[in-house]
This record gives sequence, C-alpha cells and structure tokens, in this order.
Amino acid sequence: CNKFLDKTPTDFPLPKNYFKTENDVNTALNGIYDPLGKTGTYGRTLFFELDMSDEGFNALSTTTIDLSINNYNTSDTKVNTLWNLLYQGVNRANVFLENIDNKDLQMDEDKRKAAKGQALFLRAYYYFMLVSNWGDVPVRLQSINDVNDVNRARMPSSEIYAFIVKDMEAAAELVNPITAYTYNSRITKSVVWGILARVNLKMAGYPLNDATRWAEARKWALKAMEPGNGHALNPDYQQVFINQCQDKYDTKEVLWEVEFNKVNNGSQDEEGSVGAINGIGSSDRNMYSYGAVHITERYYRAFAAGDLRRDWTSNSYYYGTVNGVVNSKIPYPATSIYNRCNAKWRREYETALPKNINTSSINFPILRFSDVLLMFAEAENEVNGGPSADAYEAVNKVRRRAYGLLLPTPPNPAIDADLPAGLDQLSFRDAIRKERSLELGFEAIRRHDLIRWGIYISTMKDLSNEITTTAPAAYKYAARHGDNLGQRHLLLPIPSSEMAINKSLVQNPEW
Amino acid sequence: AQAVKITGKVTGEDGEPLAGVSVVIKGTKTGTATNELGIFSLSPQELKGAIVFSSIGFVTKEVALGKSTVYNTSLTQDPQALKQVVVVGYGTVQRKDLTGSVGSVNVADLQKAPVKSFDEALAGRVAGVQVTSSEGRPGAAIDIVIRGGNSVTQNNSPLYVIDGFPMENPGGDNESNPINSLDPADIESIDILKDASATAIYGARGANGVIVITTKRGKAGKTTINYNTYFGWQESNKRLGVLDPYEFIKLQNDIDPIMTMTLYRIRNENGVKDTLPLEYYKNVEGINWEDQIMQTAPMQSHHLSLGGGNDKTKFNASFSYFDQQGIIINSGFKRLQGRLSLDHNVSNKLKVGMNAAYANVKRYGTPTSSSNYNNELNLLFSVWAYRPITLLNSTTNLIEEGTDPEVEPGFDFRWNPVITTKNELRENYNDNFSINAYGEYAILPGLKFRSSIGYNKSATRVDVFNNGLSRSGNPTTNNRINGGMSYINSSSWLNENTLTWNKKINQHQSLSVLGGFTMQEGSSSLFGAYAKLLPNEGLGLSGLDEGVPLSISSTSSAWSLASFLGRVNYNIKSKYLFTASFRTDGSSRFSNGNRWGSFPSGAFAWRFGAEPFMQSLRFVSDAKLRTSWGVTGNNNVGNFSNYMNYITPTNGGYSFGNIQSPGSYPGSMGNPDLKWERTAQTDIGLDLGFFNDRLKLAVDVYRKNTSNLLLNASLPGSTGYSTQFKNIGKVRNQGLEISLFANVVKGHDFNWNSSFNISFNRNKVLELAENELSMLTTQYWGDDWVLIPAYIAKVGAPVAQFYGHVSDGVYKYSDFDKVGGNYILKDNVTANGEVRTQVQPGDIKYKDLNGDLLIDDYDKTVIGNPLPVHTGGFSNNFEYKGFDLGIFFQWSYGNDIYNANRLMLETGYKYNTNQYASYANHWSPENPESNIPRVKGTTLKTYATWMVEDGSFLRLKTVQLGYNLPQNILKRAKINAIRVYASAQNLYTWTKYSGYDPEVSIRNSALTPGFDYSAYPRPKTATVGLNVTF
Repeated sequence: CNKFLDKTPTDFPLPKNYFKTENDVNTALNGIYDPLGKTGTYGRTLFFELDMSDEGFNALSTTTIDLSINNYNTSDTKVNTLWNLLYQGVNRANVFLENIDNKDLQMDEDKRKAAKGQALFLRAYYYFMLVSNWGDVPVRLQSINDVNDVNRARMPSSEIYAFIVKDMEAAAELVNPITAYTYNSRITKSVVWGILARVNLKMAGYPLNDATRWAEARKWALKAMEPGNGHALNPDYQQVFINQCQDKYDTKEVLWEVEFNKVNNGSQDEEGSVGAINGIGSSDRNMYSYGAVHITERYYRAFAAGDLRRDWTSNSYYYGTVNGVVNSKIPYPATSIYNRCNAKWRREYETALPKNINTSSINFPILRFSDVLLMFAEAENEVNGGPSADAYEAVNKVRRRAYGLLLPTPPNPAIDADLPAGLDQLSFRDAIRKERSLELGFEAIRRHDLIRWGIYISTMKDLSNEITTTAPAAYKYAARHGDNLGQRHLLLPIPSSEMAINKSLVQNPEW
Repeated sequence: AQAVKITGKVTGEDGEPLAGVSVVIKGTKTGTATNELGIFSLSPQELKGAIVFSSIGFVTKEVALGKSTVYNTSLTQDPQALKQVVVVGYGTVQRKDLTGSVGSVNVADLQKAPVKSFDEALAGRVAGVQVTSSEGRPGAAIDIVIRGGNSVTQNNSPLYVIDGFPMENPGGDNESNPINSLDPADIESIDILKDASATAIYGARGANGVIVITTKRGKAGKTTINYNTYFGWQESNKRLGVLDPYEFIKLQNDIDPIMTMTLYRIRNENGVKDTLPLEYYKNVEGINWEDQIMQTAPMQSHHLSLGGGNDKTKFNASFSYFDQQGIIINSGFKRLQGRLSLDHNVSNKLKVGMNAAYANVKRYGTPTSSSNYNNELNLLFSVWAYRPITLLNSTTNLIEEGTDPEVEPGFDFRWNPVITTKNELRENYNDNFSINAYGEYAILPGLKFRSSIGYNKSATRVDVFNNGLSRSGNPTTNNRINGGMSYINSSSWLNENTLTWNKKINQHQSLSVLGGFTMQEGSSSLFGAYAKLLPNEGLGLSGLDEGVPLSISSTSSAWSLASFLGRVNYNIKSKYLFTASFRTDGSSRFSNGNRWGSFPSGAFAWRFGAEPFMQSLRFVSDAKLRTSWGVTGNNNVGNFSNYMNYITPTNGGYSFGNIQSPGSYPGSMGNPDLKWERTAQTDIGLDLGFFNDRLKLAVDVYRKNTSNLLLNASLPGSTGYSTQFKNIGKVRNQGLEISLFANVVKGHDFNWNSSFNISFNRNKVLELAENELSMLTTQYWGDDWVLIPAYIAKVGAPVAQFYGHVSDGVYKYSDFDKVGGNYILKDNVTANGEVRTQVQPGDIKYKDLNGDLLIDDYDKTVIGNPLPVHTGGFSNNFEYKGFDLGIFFQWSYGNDIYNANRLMLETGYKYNTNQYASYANHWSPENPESNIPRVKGTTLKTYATWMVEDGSFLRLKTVQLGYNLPQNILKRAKINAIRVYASAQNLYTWTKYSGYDPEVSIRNSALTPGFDYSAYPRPKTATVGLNVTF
C-alpha cells in the first residue's frame, strides 16, 4: 500500500538528485545571478527610484508617494521587493555552496572552483547591498531547512562587512580573470578586486568610519589597475554607453555590467528597463521612453565647458516632428535645463529587435574602470594625507577622456583637462568627489557616495532650497526628494512584512 | 353508553409488528398507541365510525368499526416517506434512523430555478450551507462553505461525491468544474453531510462537509419520455451611473482648469475661436458606456430524458443542451450533456450496473475582474471611467476608436471597453467524461459485497486570442496580434470495495456493519503555447505557428489515496440509535511518517417521540434528539508541498555574452513534517414533528475546532522564501441552525407548503503561527495594492475582518492657518499620510488613533466584518388545481463589503477619467461642506471605512408559476403530462449596497471575502418553459 502512496514529483527534480553534473551547477549558478537583473534591482529600482540625488529627480510629477521622493513607509513595495530579492540571492547561494563540494558531483576541478568563487562573491555582494541600504541586517550563511526557524536578529554592520571582505577575498582566488571571457557580466577577478575597493571605501566612510580601510581600498583598486588585467578607458566616453545599448562588450572599460537580454515574453525581469524608464522621453514605439529622470540644474552646471560628458549624460535635444520628419532632433534652448533627461542610455542606438515599449535589453554598468581609477585616487589621497602623482594621474586619465583628448581627432585638442597641480588633501578630496559625480552620474553610485561621505542630507537640503528659489514653477516639485529627506532616510526601513514575522528584529531609527 | 374494549395488532407489510402507531377513534379524543408488540387496546364509547391508524412513514389507514372487537391490520409504507431516504457515505439510511446532521435539498424546488447548475440555486436552501457567488458572470466561481470555514489559507470547499465518486475542490473557477457539467434536471437528490458523524466516513477529506449528489436512475414500469425546455431573457438594468457630460467637464475643470480650457472650452470653428461656458455641456449628450457594454441576453435549455425498465433491468438516459449568453456582450456559457445509467439484476444475488456521463462545456467572454497587474485593466473600470464625450474640436467618435486619444498608454490602461470586449477571444472548452460501474453480490441474506470502479477524465482547452483591435493585441503593444492555447488534462480512477452486514438480532435490536477499502489515484497535466506578432490575423489561433513563440508552459502532477473504512449502526426499537464510524486514510501528499491519519466518530440519537410518555402529547408526531462527535481531516495542500523543489522558470535565468542561459533555484523549502489538518466537531440536534408532521422543526448546534491547520504561512523575506505550508494554528466555528417546514394548508384544491431556514455561524481564530496575534492579508487587485493589508485575522476574532483606517470626512478650512495664500495645517491637526505641507482643504481625513499626528500603519484597525451574522432562505409553494406557484427568498444579514470600485471612481484622481455620479458632490471651494474628498485629495493608498458598505440583502430569488394541463385533455393526445411554466430568478433585491449586487466576492478566499472590484453584474432572468411527459 505504501508503494501505491509513494508519488515522486513529476515537475521538478528532487534535491537529492540535483547537483550531479556540471550542467546542474551552471544552471544553479545562473539562478544566483538572476536577482541582479530583476525590476526590483538593476532592472529598475536601483538606478531609478533608489538613485535619486543631486544629479537628477523623478520627473513623474504625479507621483505623490514613492521611494524616489522620500515619501514612503515601511510597507513600501519597492523596499520590500529589493529586500526579498537580495535575500533570495543569498539563499540560492547558500544552497549552492552547501552542494558544490558534493563528492558525487562530476565536474572539472577548475570549473568547480570558479563556480564556487562566483557564488561566494555574489552572496557577499548581496549582503553588501543589504548592509549599505539597511545597516545591520539578519545574516544567514546556511540555507533555512526548518520552517519554524524564522527569527533572526540583526548582525552588527562591522561583522557583516568583515565577512563580506573575507568571502570576497576568498572568491578572488577562485574565479577566473576577466580575460577568460569576451563579456563582462561574469564575476571575474577584476570584478572582485574592484568591488573590494568599493566595499573598503564604504567601510572607511559613514557609518563605520574605519580609517584603516583606505589602505585596503587603495590596494584592491591598484590590483584591478595592474596592466596585466588589460583594463583601460574607452577613448570615447559616449561609446561606453552606446556599446551597452548595442549589446557590445568592452571588457577593458567595463569590469562588470548587469546583462539584459531579449526574451520572447518581453518580461521586464529579464529585459530590464535601462533607457526605457530613464533615457530621452519619447512615445515612438522604436525608442519608447518615459524619460522619467530629469537632470538638476546644479548638476548640469557642474560640467565645465568642453566636458563632453554633459551632453551625453543629459540630452541637448528632444525628439519632435520637423517638416513632417518624425523623431527629428530639436535642440533645447540654453535656458531649458530641467526638461533634460538622464540620457546616458539612448534607445535610438538600441539594436536588438523587436523593441519593446516598457523594456529594453540595454545593459547596466555596475563597475567601470574610471570608477576604479577614481577610487584609487580617493584612497591614495587619504592614505598619503594628500594627492600623489599617481593619484593625479588616475584622475587626469578620466578627465582627459572626458574632454575628448583620447579621441583620434579631439574636438578641442588644445584644452587642458588636468586638475590644477598643487591641490592639498582637502581640495583634492573635493575634486575627486565632484569628478565621481561628473563621470559616474546616474550610475547608481552618487547617493551612496554622498552617504558614505556624510554629506547626503546637507547636500540635498541645500539643493532643495536652490530648486525652490531658482527652478521654473513647473519644476519646483524637483525639490521633493530633499524636502522630504530626514535623518531616517540614511537607511531604508526594514519591510513591515519582515518585521511582522521575524520577531527578533528591531526597526531602524525613526521608522 | 357502555364503553367497549377493542384490541388489535398492527404490523407492517412484512408482518413485523409496528410499535408506536397512533390509534384514534375518528372524530374523538379517544386514542392510544401500539406497544412494542404492535398491540393496542382501546375503549370507544360506541362501535361506530372508524379507527384511524397513523404512523410516520406509513400511509394513514381508516378501518370502519363494526361488531368485531379485534382489529388486526397492516400499514403500507408511505411512498412519500420512502423519499425520506438520505444518502450518506457508502449507503443510505431512513431519515428517521439518522443519527447525524444531514441536510437534504428539496430538489424539486431547486429545479424551479432557471440556472445552469445546482450551485447557483443552492443558496438559502439548506441551513448551515453558505453559498457565495463571486460575481454574476455565466459560469463564475461559486464558493460553498458548510458550517463556516475551517482552513485559513486553504480552500474550504466541501468534498463532492457525485454518484459515489469523490471530488476535491471541483468548484471555484476551476476550468474543469464537474458541477458545471451536471444539468440540474438530472439530479435525483442532494444531501449535505454536516456533522462529524456523517462526514467522518470520508475521513481525511470530510472536514469541510460533504455534498452527496445522486443522479436519476431508471425506475421499473412504463417507459417515460420527458422533454423539458425553457427560453428566457436576462438583463441588469441597474446602472451605477457616471457623471454626465456637464458634471464631467466640471470635474475636469476642478482637476486642471488650464487644460480644460484648451481641450473643452475654446471652440474653433472655421478659424473663429470662442470660449464656451461650462453650462454649454448641459445640452451635450454623452456616451453611456454601461448601456454600450450590456445587453438583454437570451438563454435556453432543452432537456430530453428517457427512462424505464422492468424488475430485472432499469435504464435512464438523458440529453441536454443549455445556452446562456451573458449580459455583458460577447460572454456566455454553453453546455451539451448526455447521461446513461443501467441497473440489471443478474440473479437474486447479483446486481450490476453502470452509469456514464459526458459533457461539453464552453465558457467565453472577457473576465471583468481578474486583472491584477494594474487595476485599471479590469473591464468595468474602463466602462465607468471612459470619457463620455470627446474633445471640443475633435471629430473622433470615441465609440469607434480603440483607445481614447487623450490616454497616455504608458500610464493609463483604459481601452475602449466595447471594442476590446468584441475583439478579444477568451474561450474555455471543457470535455468531462465519467464512467462508474458496480457489482453487488448478496453472499448471505443480510451480507452484501459491493465493488465499484469509476473513472473520470477532464480535458480543458483555454483559447486566448487578441486581434489588432483588442486591448492587448493592438499595434501599440509589444506583442501585437497574439494568442495561445492551453490544454489542461486531469483524470482519476477510484476503486471501492465494501461489505455490508445487516442483522436483525432480535425483535428489538438490529445491527448494520459496513467495512471497506478504497483506492483513488489522480494525475493532471497542463500544456500551453503562446505566440505573438502573428502575421495573419484572419487565421485566428490556427495562425499561431506563424508567429513568434512567446511562451510554453508545461506542468504535471499526481496524487493517490488509500483508505480503510468502517461503520456500525446499532438500533434498539428504532428508538435508541447508535452509530460509530472510523476511517483511516493514507495520502501521497504527506511524507512517510505522517502519511496515515485516523478519523473516528460516534453518534447517539434518541427518538423520544416513540417513548410512551410522549403519547399523551399527541400533537407531537415525532421527536428525536441527536448527538455526535467526531474528527475529520483536510488534506488541502499541494501534491508535493513536502518536497523542496528545484525550479527552472523562464524568468529565472541570466545572460552571458548575449546568450541566455536558464537558471534554477529552490522555489520552496519544502516541509517533510506536513500532516493532516484535523477538525473535531460536536453536534447536538433536535428534530420535532407536529400535527402528523405537518409542521417540522430541526435545530442543530455545533462546535468545530480545527487544529494543525495546513497554513501557507508567510516566511520572512530574510529566509529567501515567501511562504511555506506548515501545520499550525487553530480555528473554531460554532453555530446554530434552524429549519422549519410547514404544510400550512392542505386541502383538496389548495395546498400550501412553506419552509424556512436560518443559520448562524461564529468563526474565531484561536491560534496562529508562532504565537502571532494577528495575520494581515492583502488583496492583489493591482500592483499598487499588493502590499497594503486589507484583511486581518486576529486571535479571538473571525478569520477575516476588514482592516484599515477610519475615515473622518475631509479637512475643512478650519483645520488650517492661512499664511499668505497658502493653507498650512494647524499644528494640532493630524496629517493624512501625506507630507504635512501638502495637505490641503478638501483632502481626505482619517482618524489618528494613536494621537501622534501622523496617519500610518499604527492607525489601522478593524473596519468591517465580511462574514454575515445570519443567512437563510424562505420558500413557499402553493398549489391550486392544476396551478402551482413557488416563491423563494434568500438573505444574508450583517456582512460588509469592500466596494473598491469607489477607490477608483470617487477620488477624481486623474484627468480625463470619468467618475461615479456620486462624485459630483465632491469638496471644492464652491462646495466646502461636502465630505467627499476634493479631486486628487485621496492620495494615500489605504483601505478605509468610507468604502466599506453594508452588504446585507434580502432577495426574491426564484419565482415559478406553473400549470399542469388537465388529464382529460391529455389522455386524448396520449400524453402523460404537460406542464407550462414561467420562472424568474433574482427578481428583486432589497439592499443598501451601492454596487451592482451585494452577492459579490471576487478573488474570494477564507481570508479575503466580500471584495468588489469590477465584478460582473448579476442578471435578472425571466423564462417561459414547457415540460412534456409521454
């Protein structure tokens, strides 16, 4: 009778039969990457709602309650989704790591190591995103196997960062160099080193303020800059982003990008919405974009004359019909600033067909080489108590490219792009901070930079005043992000759904 | 005169003595009752007139008094009383011998309702059975709950046993709902097993009650042919009413006067511009979209049956066709059905039989309320919110345009509801085939072996096609012309073997023992394929192969159940009745250690009406006290919920170097400890008959305690999972049921029967997961609402209560300080969830329960109760000569409804979007006394008391007037009977509810009842019919 009652699942493999082949391992590894590309992460939220800073604002003026304008509560959908997705990544990695050393797994040892390293890194990266957005969070390094094991208290940030660094350092030994691949969506040694630099910079800043970390940041950035890795700046700034629109991989410039691809069902979770939610507003179905992120005047004006990045980071034209020609590019008058969009990714360059309305397959960069150079310069300046020649050189490389000096035919060959010599530590620090914004605008970095430098609230409040007094009436609402900003917004609230069940948690301050 | 003593013995037709027979001298008060040997003695004043012998279940007999002093007689069984056989699990029992609580549906009454299936007419028929229809769409889900819901997150649907074949969860919006395959005219009886004594024989699946349906079988005698048909019309003339053109323009002016000036007020005629006053629109006729989408819909039913046989062989066959169009255009329900049953006595000892049924059901039409991605996608939202007029200088005819040119497709999901409804194909076809065969062998007198085998197969096809004029296939969409087909197949087989032993131990005691073993196994699979960018629209779904593949789905599952069952009935003098039953079930859904569950029950009934001390109360014709206790189970959980599952969904992968690779991960953690949910139920019932059963009363009180709830418990996100089944929590249901039947008038020409029932159920959560004190549930009717709790299940309170903020009208000028031209909220006045500086006069206001001057989650409380205090029905049947009239009322009292429509249509939240007429009176500087929020004044997404309405109703549900043509006319035509009739369904409803219909519960579940958003209106139906028997 018991035999009659033994039914084996017909629609999914049993865990005991899984992780037997290389194919199983690769498929499960892809499952750990998967959360990177969801609408709730790099598919939208991380570069849209959660990337509002002094660079741009949510231009969907009818929005009244949203993460992007700091008017939301503990049951906010986007906060909840981000939290869940990151922990899903963690859990998938946990299950993976518990099985990757199975004795009966038939797999080449090097491949096994590389796979393990990727999982180890991704788990650490998901925790890095958790700890930088929420502060102390519950940590699970083993998968849950008891349905009643739901209570988990918050681990202090310092301990979380410690194991993030430890796991990432271990992963660096396991994964392949970037030269092993023709694309840059895989976790490679370059990714791990660059992100280690970023993690250490964060640890050196708010809230840990652990000054011993500057040297570590410098070390890892330098590691990524070693000539053997083959990293270099693309001579053409705008080409970096055009490549992403065209699904081309520049593994020299971009160390790590989130890859989106066309899928038949047009799901935003796979295709993302880079260029479709941000980008130059258009209702033409071949380059449809909400144009939902507009630039602030302050950011626009921060670009000096000759800096080619300004008119790529924002659009100097809009689409309209001229003499019966649709999608003609009509230049903005110099006074129209707030109308301009975040234009780094322009769907007019997108090549993958068919083009969908709400989704694109444009990739999103998480780590670029210019970021590595600037991280190095920033750390170097702190470690040495002032800028060294190497620090200058790193920044100037970035700036020379920005002014077109690396192009075969520079538009303005005589221009001097370099930072003025002889800056003291403080001036150089300010210069770096500004340069990071000019170079990495709208790349989901600025808000985190402001927070780690401890100037997020002051910067945004100042900006709000500026907008309220100087912006055109129709764009005064751009001040909402800063207006609504309070001390509590330095951290996201722990989602109410988590608080309701995990009884060991204490909510973040003021939430 | 000298009294004479007379005596006698009363027996049944079989010669067995009958005890408790009432023996009365006609027209006098002299009377007695027979003793246990059937003997009576009586002393009438004179030997004149007649003696009247009467007993429940027997035909009353009069014997003339003559010279004799001994009057032995036998009584024949009342054929009416034979109908008082109740079908219980694995057998039948005379109602008088019943120990459990079983409600029998008056099928003849129910069949008067012109409905496609019996569940549509079941509400209010039987006490303790709550029937909730989700909406009025033909074939819409109907949820039946017996004595309150036990389960919290799982289905509370009873077990259906159709001709002996048990089916779990057949109801609901299940594509292969076997109830939809069953013509009500084919039903012989419906018995609803309510208490544990009755349901425990179904063990692990009995906790939610059992509905036992038996279809008609052949009867010995002359072959009869019956043809029954009716035609009818359905309509709903209730209109919720939206703003007329003038009020619409006024609203647009309130939202955006500048835009309104440009779009609606500056007229440009041949280059001459003038500005129109708002009043101009008082004379403009708008489009009434509700009228456009609704129709008077025909329905028809044909049912032909053939039945007959002789002592050895009996047969019954039927064939029927039913066609109901919906009152929303391009929707409806069609069914073609055939049945056959055969019974044959091979010998005195062996009897065999079989029955087979086939049905083809088609349901079609755009669902009005099922879109959850964005609530603007639901059909009726587009109907109500679509503009009644076009722009002033535009020649666009909105009726003919797929989209409103003023609607920005990225932000607004409205689409011309008429065009989309006509152009999107949504068709479900279901073929349902079932066959059952049995053999019954009498091994010894009283000892019978029965074995049966049954097979049920259901094949469903779901067709979806969106052509270029439809909402999801028009040229502005990504997929363009698209469509797909899904095939859902399921089958199960059942083998049952029972041994029954009936033993008359002696004159006073009898014993009936049942033992059995059953096995059931089922499997299901789904395959679907969808394609987009179809080049040839005209080919419809045949052109799917020419398009670009969109998705393929393919799943399968299987389960099995093995059971041992037993029951003992012990009967002393038909007065003391004992029943004990036991079942043990083993289910494939649980892992080895928890696989088997045992479900015992016991019952005792005392027919104290037959006791001597009751004889003096002669107006009491019958009296019985029933008590029972038992445990039943529920295995309502996924077939493989105990396993951790590795899934590889199409959206779970990742791309490397432009190559997409699949990704896998554990979709759920699995719980190998899962086991049965257990419900222990105690029932005490009293059955009373008065005046020779012309008045009957049944009262039951019960208490059900459900423990080890199979709860799909939420997990914290930090585990990496969202939910997992576990056994935790306790729920209690207790209640009172009263049924009353009266034969009010019994005359030669005029007969009036009346029946009434009322049920009260109280539901209470005793315990939730992990000492949780409450559990919040959201209603996913739009992405914006997916995380906003709408319901709360609190320990000590019912499993579902509305949860949200308490409305407090709107902010008035007095709440503000005027600084310059700006209104600044006073420091002691709470903000409404918006940033303080944004709060303006006319904005919606909520009560600040904790006094912190903020409106947030801490100010939420219970704001309504979706569960009724009582429900019931009241039925009256009149017969006068050849005429008969049936009138049936049904009600629900004390339940609230979330009218979520008003969140979208009484908030003025968007330009160019129409609103309910009631919104004309919204707050504005010109109308500062109004308590309806100003335009865009309801920004916080929250449920609040202003949208909670009283859902109580009393409905004149079914009326039928019939006439049987006199026999003398028929005889000449050689026709047995002709009956003509007219019926009406849902004729009138008394309610305060402002929506289409108070009987509504879209996305219904135990946790989320009573929600109305874009629900399909319920039609009134009027039919005329003809029933001919040859």
